[in-house]
Amino acid sequence: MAIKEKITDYFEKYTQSLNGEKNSYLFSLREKSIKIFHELGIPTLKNEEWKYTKLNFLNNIDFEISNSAPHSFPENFKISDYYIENFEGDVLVFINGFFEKKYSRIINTEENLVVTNLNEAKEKYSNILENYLTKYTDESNNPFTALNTALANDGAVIILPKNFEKELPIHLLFINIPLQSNLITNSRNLIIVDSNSKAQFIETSYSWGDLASFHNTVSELYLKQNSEVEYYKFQNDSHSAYYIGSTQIHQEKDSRLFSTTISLAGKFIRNNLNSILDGENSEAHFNGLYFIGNEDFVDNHTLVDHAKPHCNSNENYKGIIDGKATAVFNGKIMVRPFAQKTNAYQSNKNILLSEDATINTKPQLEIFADDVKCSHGATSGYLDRDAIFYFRARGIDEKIAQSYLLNSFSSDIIETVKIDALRDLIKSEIAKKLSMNELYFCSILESNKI
Amino acid sequence: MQKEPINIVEEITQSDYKYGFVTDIEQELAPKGLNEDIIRFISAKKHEPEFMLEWRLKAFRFWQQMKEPKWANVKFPPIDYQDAYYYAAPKQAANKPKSLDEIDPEIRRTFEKLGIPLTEQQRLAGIAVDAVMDSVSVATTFKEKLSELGIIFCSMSEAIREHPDLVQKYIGSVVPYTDNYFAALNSAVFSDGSFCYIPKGVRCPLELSTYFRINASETGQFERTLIIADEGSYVSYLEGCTAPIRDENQLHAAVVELIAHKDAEIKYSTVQNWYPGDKEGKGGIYNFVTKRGICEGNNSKISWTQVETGSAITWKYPSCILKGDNSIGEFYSVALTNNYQQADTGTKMIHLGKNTKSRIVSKGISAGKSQNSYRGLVSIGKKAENARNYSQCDSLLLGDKCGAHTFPYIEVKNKTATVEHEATTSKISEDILFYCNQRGISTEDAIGLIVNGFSREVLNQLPMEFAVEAQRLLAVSLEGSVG
Amino acid sequence: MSLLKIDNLKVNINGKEILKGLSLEVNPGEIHAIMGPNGSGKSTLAGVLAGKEDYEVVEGTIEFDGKNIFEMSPEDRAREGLFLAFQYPIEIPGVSNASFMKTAVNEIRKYRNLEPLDAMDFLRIMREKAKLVEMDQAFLNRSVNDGFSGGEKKRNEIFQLAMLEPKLAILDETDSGLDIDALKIVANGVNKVRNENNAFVVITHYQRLLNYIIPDFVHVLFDGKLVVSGGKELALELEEKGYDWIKKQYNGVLV
Repeated sequence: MAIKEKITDYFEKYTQSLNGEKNSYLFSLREKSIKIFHELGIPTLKNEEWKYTKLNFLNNIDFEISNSAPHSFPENFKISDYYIENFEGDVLVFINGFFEKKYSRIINTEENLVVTNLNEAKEKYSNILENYLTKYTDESNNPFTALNTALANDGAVIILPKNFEKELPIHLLFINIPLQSNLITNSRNLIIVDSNSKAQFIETSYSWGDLASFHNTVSELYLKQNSEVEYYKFQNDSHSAYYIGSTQIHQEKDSRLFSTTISLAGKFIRNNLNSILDGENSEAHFNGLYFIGNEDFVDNHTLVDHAKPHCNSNENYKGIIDGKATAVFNGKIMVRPFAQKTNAYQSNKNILLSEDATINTKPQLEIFADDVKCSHGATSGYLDRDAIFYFRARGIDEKIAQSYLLNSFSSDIIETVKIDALRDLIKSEIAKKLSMNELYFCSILESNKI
Repeated sequence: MQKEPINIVEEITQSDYKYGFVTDIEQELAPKGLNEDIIRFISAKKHEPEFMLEWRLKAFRFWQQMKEPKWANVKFPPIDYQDAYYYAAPKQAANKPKSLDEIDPEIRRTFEKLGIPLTEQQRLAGIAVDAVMDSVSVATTFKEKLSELGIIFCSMSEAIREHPDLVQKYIGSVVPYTDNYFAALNSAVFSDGSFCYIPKGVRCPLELSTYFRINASETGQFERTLIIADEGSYVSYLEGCTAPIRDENQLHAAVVELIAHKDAEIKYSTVQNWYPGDKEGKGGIYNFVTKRGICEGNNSKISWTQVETGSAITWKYPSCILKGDNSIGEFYSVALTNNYQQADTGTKMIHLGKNTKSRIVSKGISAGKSQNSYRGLVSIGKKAENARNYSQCDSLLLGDKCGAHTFPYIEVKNKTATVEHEATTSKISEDILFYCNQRGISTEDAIGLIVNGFSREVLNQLPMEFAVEAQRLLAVSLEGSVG
Repeated sequence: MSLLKIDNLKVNINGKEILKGLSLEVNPGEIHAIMGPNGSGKSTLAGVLAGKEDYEVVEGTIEFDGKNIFEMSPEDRAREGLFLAFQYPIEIPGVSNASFMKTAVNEIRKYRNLEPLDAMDFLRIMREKAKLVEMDQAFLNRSVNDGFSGGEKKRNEIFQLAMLEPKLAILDETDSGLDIDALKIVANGVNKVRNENNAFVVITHYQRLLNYIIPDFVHVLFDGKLVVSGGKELALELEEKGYDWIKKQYNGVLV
């Protein structure tokens, strides 16, 4: 069965399984979205937003759509492998798209603080879901977001009350365990941070085993006045993992968003990161590092939409591409009419390490207001040959020299991660990639001034 | 006591197009519409050899299969391709006069009014001119002098008759008729244009220049230019364009092909000032042009320089295919849009050979309610070892109703390549203007200073006479821009 | 006849009253210092004189060299010989100092029915004046204030002052943010330019500058009015006692 028919089939069965819920707002949303998905279809390369991104896998791989979590884990599966070591905070675990309370950890239980999952929230917080879900996701241009709305099994719902300033890192951990067949999961997260509150979120997505898994996820983030959010995505997945993740952020006046996306591995990764700066004096910081090899594919699409005056955005993405990997960066800065006094900056720098690596980068400025300061830059290059030569002239192997330089190239992005446990994890994974114990040895030598 | 706020936008839009007059001469027109008979008619009129007609017909049949493109950032009403004349010629010009003295005095006056004297006595310092009115070349100066060096500089029609081997070898070799909708249309119906061939080792002593003038109404202009620089040769070529003020939109779909062989260099400069339409956006030229050059041989170089101030819509991407090792491609552009003009312009640099270099400097100035986009591709092929590209795209905004957009595409498939792209957007702010005023500089002069400073890097690339003209043109296009 | 005569000047910004009846007379050859706490209206005064637009003049007159200043555009005020050294000099990328000044000088000459300076004369004068503020050749070819340090920008203002030879120069906090060496260079430049025919209004926060540019008069601007005037000793008194005694005496509420 072709993928589209499977989706239709699944949706019909799902509809039949509903009883009283058919009249719910959520269900009417799903019906609308499945129509949009079928109208849009799966994008081809002719679609400007997918110009460098082939979606053949959807037709080439025989997927089933996930409808439940597995009853038991396979023998060699250890859930502890997926937690972030030394991480202090809430962890919400979703297996094959469904919330697993017993593997989750919810420490924070303050009054008015909501940390729960979509299936729970459906009843308890139905009016909030109604007010916020799909408000800014622009499904008519995003078939995968529409698909997600139609089919989402579950996801996190987090609502921070006003003036909540306690340190509260929350880790959303998604694991797909395809046992009998290749698997599609759809998860949907809704995060609302009320005025003057602060929060930190981490999203990670993993797939286990050799069967293919396609995780199509959407997160909606609402930053109310003067709130501050750190939002991290860490991607270090297997070679059978396909991932499309869209994050739609809406920012009110004086709000501050700090986002860092680190992609180290994955067969197919597409990140859509969009923020609407919809209140004066709001700011968005987008940072990203993709360091990939093998035949991996990573595509980062970002949009900073300056809708109000006096907002700032700052975007810095860096890429290291090795093996036969391909990376895509498409960064759009949009400055709407009336969004005067906008400051927007964007940079995308790339290093190709091998003969067969490819980078396609497309930084875009679309400016409809005149009193703005915008700039963007993009580069692709190899490591500084003079620097490498200098290392070698001092007797240091080229490979080590390269590791040094790559490490320093990526360090400013890594340092934007403010959660220690996550940053340590990223650093150690990058050290593994650089396969450089020497790197550490050298730095020890340096620090001891031997 | 209180001064009115400076209204840049309103004032900017008040300048007039001074080339908007019509020349009253006898016309010869083909019937309206487009079909195979019209193409046979055009080909017969020009006494073309069989291969040319065949090629035109193939292009026409291909065009019929194609759909008119839709572009994201350019909007225009559908064009009725059957409601236009595809051949219009000043009557006398059908048999081009043998000597410059025989030119219809009315035509001569037209070009004099445009500042292009068609007599060799009044030669513009070191420039040979091919003057094209509507579809045909009406005069070419300095032909004999050039032919002494073996340089062929003549109208395309003449080249097809006199040098069919060269034409057959090169036409469509850089821009095949299958390339895009307007290139296919041009290949089917092109009426004239300029041809030049610089033989091995010759440095062309004159600037070669074509001056295009649309005069007739309801016509499309489809000229085709072919420049071949043989091994070790050099040529600098200039092109200028104007059209009368008319309410209807007119289509200009030209094709330019450049071929640079080993060690050869071609410098191609354009000052485009087609009628841009009036202040309400009525009328004006649709300038849909395909320009492409190939650096065929090693160490060759192609440099495009353009100053685009006219046309209702400009859609063009002068490009370089850098095939030869060590070849160099350059693109320098100033595009100014005002009122309701739309410009979508940029370049493609296709790096195929080793050590190829390209440089892109694009300056967009938007005023009024205009939209100005830079769209460019830098592609580094797998075998393009050590390729280098540097791109700089700057936008300057005047007023708050215009838009500036930048769409660079960068595709890199070789790790030794270095590609750098930088873009900035800024405005001429009230603060800057006030600062200049406070130093005694009028707002208009201040804008002139800033716009010229902004464009300097590009204007410096133009030959002297054109640089002055271009500077003036930028000033006129923004004239009265401020209070 | 006085060079500048401000009479009962009242100015609003966005409907809020900033200057509340300010009067001042400046004669050729004089240096006036205007001091005052933050928000007292110092920069507003400078802006109104130069013709900045954000201000609404509600009442009062300003005559410059006998002419009603409100009937003149900013550029005509400049051409008449009024110069403002900006508190925050503007960056103009792509326009060199040299071409900026050449245009300014010749525009002013044209206004005064003088022949434009030819390039050689202009260059000679420019080099001469650049020395006044210890600017080198390279400086002149750089874009106006683009990428300049704070000190360089202020020096550039004084260089322009020297080039344009105004009758009246208003220095709007030209000393703010300068270290002592840069301050000396700036003050030195001013002293070399001053003569019996021109006048200066020096707006400053700090008495320090007045050690190097000796004023004939010191005025305290407070709550939109000049509340105290005196000789150069007044500046020292202010430095010592601060502005509190003025605030008390004039019963003003700080804006």
